[in-house]
Amino acid sequence: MGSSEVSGRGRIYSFTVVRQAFDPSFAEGLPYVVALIEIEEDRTVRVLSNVVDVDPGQVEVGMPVKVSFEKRGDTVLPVFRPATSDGRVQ
Amino acid sequence: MEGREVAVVGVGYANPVRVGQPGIDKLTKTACVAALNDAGLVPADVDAVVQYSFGGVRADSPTATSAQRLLGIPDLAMYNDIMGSGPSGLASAMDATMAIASGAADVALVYRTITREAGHTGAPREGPNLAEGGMQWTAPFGYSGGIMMSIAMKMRRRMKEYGTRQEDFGTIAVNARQWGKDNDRAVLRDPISIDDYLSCRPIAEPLLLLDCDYPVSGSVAAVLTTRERAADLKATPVLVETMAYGTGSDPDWIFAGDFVFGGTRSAGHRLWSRTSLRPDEVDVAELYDGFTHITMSWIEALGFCGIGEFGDWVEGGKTIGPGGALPLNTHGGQLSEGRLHGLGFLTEAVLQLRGQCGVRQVPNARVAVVANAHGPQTGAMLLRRD
Repeated sequence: MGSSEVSGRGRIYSFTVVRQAFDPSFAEGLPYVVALIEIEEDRTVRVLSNVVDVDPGQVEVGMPVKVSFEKRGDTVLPVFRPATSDGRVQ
Repeated sequence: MEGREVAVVGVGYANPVRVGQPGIDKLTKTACVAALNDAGLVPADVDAVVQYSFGGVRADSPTATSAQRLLGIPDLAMYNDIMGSGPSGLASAMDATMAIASGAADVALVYRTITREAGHTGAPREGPNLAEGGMQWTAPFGYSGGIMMSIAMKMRRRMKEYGTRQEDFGTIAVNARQWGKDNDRAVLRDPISIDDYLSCRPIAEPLLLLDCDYPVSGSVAAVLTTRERAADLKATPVLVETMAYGTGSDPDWIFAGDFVFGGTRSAGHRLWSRTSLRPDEVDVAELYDGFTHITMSWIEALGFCGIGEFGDWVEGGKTIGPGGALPLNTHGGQLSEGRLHGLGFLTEAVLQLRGQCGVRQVPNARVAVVANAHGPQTGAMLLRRD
């Protein structure tokens, strides 16, 4: 095991469109997309994140996405946006 | 299985309730006393107690030694509190089976008590401000509600890989009510149609409200002993043919090697490798339905149809309903009876094999399969009547 730098590109392995907030601090953001992203460099490696800036109805399994970093409160989180297959954010 | 042959000789319930909080000691005592009475045994006969609970700060099931005190059992040769991991309530019976088969104990009392509060993962809750441990990778993205979003993503992936349709999941929800209407313990007994299912409230798409079991307070207990001892007892003994656990590789609810099936496939394979019985000899199946996806996984993992073939196999529900080739969750499962968390699948199988299920009895049931849980913590038992 070790770490290595990756491109930030990946594809949606699976996702859910969340309609009910179980944690009240996420209620304002409904509906939102929680997804498992398989990273481009190794498709057996998946990360859990949000897919943002997209109509939840347009999200599909296999959709190419690219990481971007979003400030939420005091933290910066890696989230994903739809991308073209060469990795450009749409 | 190696060792002494094991039989289930008693089952008991504290009936599930939707409202009120009867208290976990009272629920446990009610179910355990009923199971002992059913077996024709008294507390002094018991020398092992095993229970399953979620653990944590607010207890949802009393510890084994608490139950020992409650019931006045003189001493225990074996006891265990299984918490959090393990194949839900069935874990208690699997543990007891090993204790009896090995000779560590002779008469085991097992139970799963649960409260509506503990089973109500969908309730809005105040989480910690700081996500710690594994939750740091999930909670900041709004991943909450227990395993609900994991199950939703498994459903979506399944649909993509195998062409499973939303209504295929719905056949399991409709089937539960169809059987549950004849179970006096069941809390949701009104029939539903596939249209009711498809039009119900989405929780985390594609997971719908009717894909989820219903939280209740209640308790289920069972008594297990040797086949030899069982011969002297009043009820028809139900024998444990074999059993198997499974975790799958990289066991985890989210980052598992086999995301869609978790450990169900390895448990299924292992189960059939330990018996000469075959899937087509099973008369009744009681397969965990905390979420419909779990039941569907077990049907395929246990080889009742090929992987990905549930939709064709189920014939709109005909296969699993009354008179079907594989009567499934004949008590209505947890979708109808309520979320008793696993052990109720075993006790229903026992009642079916004894022929005591009244209107919902499967004629001449001799072999039953029971399975619990999904993801990294699965288990299954194969039961038979001589």
